[in-house]
Amino acid sequence: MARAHPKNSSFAELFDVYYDNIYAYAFRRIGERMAAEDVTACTFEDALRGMRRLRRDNPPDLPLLYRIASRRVIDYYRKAKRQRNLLVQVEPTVSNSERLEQTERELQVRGALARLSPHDQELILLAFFEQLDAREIAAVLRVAVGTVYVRLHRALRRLQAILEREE
Amino acid sequence: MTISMEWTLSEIEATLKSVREHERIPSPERKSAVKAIVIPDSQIWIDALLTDLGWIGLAYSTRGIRYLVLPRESRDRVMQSLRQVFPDALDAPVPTEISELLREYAKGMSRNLDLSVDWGSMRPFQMAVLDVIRQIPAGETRTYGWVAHAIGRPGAARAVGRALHTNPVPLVLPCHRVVASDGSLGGYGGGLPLKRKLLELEGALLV
Repeated sequence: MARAHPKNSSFAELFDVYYDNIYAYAFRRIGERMAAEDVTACTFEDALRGMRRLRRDNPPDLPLLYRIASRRVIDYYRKAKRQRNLLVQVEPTVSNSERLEQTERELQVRGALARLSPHDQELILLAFFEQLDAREIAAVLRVAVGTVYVRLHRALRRLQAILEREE
Repeated sequence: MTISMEWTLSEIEATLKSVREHERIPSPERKSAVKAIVIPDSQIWIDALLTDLGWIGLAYSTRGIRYLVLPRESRDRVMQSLRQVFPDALDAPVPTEISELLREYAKGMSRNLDLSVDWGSMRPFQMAVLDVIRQIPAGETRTYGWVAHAIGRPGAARAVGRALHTNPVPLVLPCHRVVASDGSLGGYGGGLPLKRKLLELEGALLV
């Protein structure tokens, strides 16, 4: 997925372009509106401080913002001593009968996701919910692109194992 | 209800995608409020740093460097000039990438200051002039007439001189590389000895 990176843009433009992405990410991981806004604000403040790499060719990009946001979410859970339960708070919107079976399967997948390790959860979140490509995920997690494919495959296998145990 | 279906990886992937489609992320209502917190309008930060040339003052925004005070002998004097121009600015340490580059430059270790500039305070003519002089390579000089030509206003050498003289971001926008056509140094806001020294550092003049 090619993503237009607003090169040479000001930080304000960067904020306008990426705010929704980072907010959605924070909300998925926390499930609470105010806290998600807070994490988002902190993420951009950190990025701004970091961007004192004012050199032209180094504006913060989306993977870097996800990386900062990920650390901010961890801080949030640490401070609040809350249990991590990624994704599970996000409500399904549909309940009409034709979709009942599909909804059932979605519920099962979400339940199984919550039982994965935080690392696996984050990987699946970045790939399927934030819809980053492997190169971008590699930049968020600071690992090689090949490692992303391997880990993502393993995470999906573990998800599969959980789902099949539940059948 | 028991749905006994196998979970293949592709089914799991498809279901993950439909979970995403059916999730509900509340819209970020306070985007503009958060933006105002994170990026106060035209917030300027100021700081001074010690280099081999003396204390250099910097005023910068999220867009880049807005104003640079040429080397002086004391930090207080530099900060005083900065506060005169930017009474509402906050004190904040210069990002290390910038301070390192400036220090290297002052030592003669780095000939180019490739830093972004906040053009916010400039008029279009001055912006055009200062943008053009960025193309003069370190170690070389050009005349006022050359600059006037380069911006497409061949008769405007005097106006070019004024635009250079009021350059808010000297060093980074290298107005010291513009000299008089008779071979003399011309003028410099920071004084001719400094102009000479800068050109020597960059290798445009023999020491």
